[in-house]
Amino acid sequence: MKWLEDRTGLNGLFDKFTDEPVEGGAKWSYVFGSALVFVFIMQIVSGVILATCYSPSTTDAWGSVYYIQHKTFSGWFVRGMHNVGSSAMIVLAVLHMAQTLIFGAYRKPRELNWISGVFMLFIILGFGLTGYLLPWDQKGYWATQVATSIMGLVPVIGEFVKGVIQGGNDYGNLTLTRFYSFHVFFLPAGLMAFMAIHIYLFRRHGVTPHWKPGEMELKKKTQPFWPDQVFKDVIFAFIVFISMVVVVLYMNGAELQSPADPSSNYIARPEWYFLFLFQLLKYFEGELEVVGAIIIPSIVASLIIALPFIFRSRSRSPLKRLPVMGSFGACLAGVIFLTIMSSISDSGNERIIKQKEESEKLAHVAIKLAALGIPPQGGMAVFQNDPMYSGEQLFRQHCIICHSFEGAGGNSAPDLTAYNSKPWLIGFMQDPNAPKYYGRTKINVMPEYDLEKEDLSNLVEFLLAQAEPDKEIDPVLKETGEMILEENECYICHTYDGYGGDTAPVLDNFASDKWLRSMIEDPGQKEFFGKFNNMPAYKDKLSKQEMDNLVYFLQSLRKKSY
Amino acid sequence: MNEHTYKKESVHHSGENGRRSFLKICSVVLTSLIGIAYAIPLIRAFISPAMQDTVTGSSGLFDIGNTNDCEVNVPRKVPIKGIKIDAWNKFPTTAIGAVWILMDKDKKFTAFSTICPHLGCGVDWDEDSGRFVCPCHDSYFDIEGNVLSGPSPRRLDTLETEIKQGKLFVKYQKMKLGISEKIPT
Repeated sequence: MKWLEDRTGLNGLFDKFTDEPVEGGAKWSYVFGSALVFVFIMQIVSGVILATCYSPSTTDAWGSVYYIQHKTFSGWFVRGMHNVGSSAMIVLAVLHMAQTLIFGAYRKPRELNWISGVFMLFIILGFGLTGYLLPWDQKGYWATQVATSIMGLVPVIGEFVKGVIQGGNDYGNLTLTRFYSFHVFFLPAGLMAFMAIHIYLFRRHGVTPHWKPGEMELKKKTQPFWPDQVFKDVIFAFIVFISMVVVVLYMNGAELQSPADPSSNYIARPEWYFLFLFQLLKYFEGELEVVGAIIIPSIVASLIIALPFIFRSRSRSPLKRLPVMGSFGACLAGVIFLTIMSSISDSGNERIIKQKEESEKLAHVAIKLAALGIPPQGGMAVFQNDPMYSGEQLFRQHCIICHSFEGAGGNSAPDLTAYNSKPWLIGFMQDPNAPKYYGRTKINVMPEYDLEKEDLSNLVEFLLAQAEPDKEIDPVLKETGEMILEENECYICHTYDGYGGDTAPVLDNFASDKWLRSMIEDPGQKEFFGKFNNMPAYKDKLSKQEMDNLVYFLQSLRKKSY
Repeated sequence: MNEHTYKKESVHHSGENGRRSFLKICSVVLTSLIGIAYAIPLIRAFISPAMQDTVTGSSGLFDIGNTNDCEVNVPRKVPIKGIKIDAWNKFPTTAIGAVWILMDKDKKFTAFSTICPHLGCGVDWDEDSGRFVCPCHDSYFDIEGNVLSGPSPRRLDTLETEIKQGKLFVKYQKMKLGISEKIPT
């Protein structure tokens, strides 16, 4: 391509980047830096694709991630790779750090190389922290709450820093937009800037070779970066890639917990690479928590940054640099130990295991309901698709103004705790004018019935048999029931099977869906409370779906206590 | 070779030296002015939410129902429902938090915020051991909210309660975390 070469000088440019001599030859120990670049590029690529679908607002974040995970082609895989990629970067960064430490590559004149590397490590941790919040699920929300609260502990400027990071006085839309802009703009820009510095400095000083060979031997064994080192880098990158794919397939992609619920008690745990900090916090009680959360990590971070100035040995051999090797070993061991301790502590805690199981179940429900369409309010509103949840919401919204329920609510209508369950009905028959039943209302005409226990039980059985109109009622039960109705003069006011009075609710299909719906739609009609009625009609106040959900909920009260 | 020639030239044309210095200084100053002028509104836009109440609607007196069926010394978790304003969104009544309600034998009520004073996780009531537990870092509190063990810097935050017409009202507000004094945010 002479035409192209004449105009761009591409070949020369390529050579400039790749024709670097590696003294001592290409080595497997040098692959980690390139692997990091490789994974970072993969993260950018997967991140950009995710960004074509993700929406950083409290109402849409969870839904958009649900959509990526379950409604796009391969979206779950891209997201899974992005998730595993973040863990891979941490692992590779630590390996790279260990290798450069062992080889003494931090020593003069490469101090700035080390320091820029440490800053990149912090930025990678920042990526992990900011990315974790973005799905706005329970896991991300609560873990990040802890992290920003820790930032708030910094003396003097803590509250201000926390306010800047969370975009105000509490978590909300601005928190998500901020974390997103950090994750997608500030941090990548920072990482690339430091990467440029790091790679430039590395090129300037050359690789730090193994400590054994002398100058002459190193020069003799020199190989070009391209293709000798690049080949080793590519093989390792290939292994990393395959490993990531295997992990993603094994885990079935990244998890998505149920939508963030600020009023819940969720067990907050950070990503695995922060677990050691989480464990450390447990040892600092009360006022001392600043020490464990801010002071100790800051001191350790500062020491790591200043490492090239603390340990100034001239030798490349790790055996001659035991203090720094020992310190690093101790730190690593400490981190691993704390991480393991935190896993053991959680896996042995029954309460935590139970809560984890419940969270998993709720996550499962949320995802199933999301398929029915998430309301614009987003997140938690998905549970409105659940008739039980929605029914209860409607009940609390409309009914407990007058009706009492489970110790709360109004006091001008019957208590609906375990409504229409056997105990509720038995209590009702024995004293219909008790405050719990009609005592608070205008209806005070039904007499008490001092029935024999057996009769009472049969009567209630008979009434409740009406609740399932699809099931044939046992003829013996029906006869018994009708007999009791007859003996106790119920037919004076109530109608059953076409016979009886019309000044009290009809007993056909009593407590069935149809009966309940009809009663709630218009309680003032003759079939129900007629002129005694004080309850509003909900025919035009609730949609058909809402009415179905409300009835579903009320039926659950009857069935639950049965 | 070139450097040498350049130096010779500038020695000859000393006026050039002063002119070039002036150009250099001007370039730097003008660029800095652009930078500063643009930076001020940028930084202000970035920082300002930190000083504002961007998420509101989550404090004030909330009606949490009548006081009839509370059991003595059995904490009950009650959601706090209110309108929530979050930056540009206004949400209709939704759960914005929760409180633990406790009634003693003299029918006096205590309301605890469910927010752990350590780092903000939701506190649970463990029936079996009769204590409040925070699942995040294992802070334990007794039924009166006193710290039994764990990293919490102070006891559970009590919130003001009021009884009006047989209904219990709670003044729901959030307190600063991680310090030993109970101070509203």
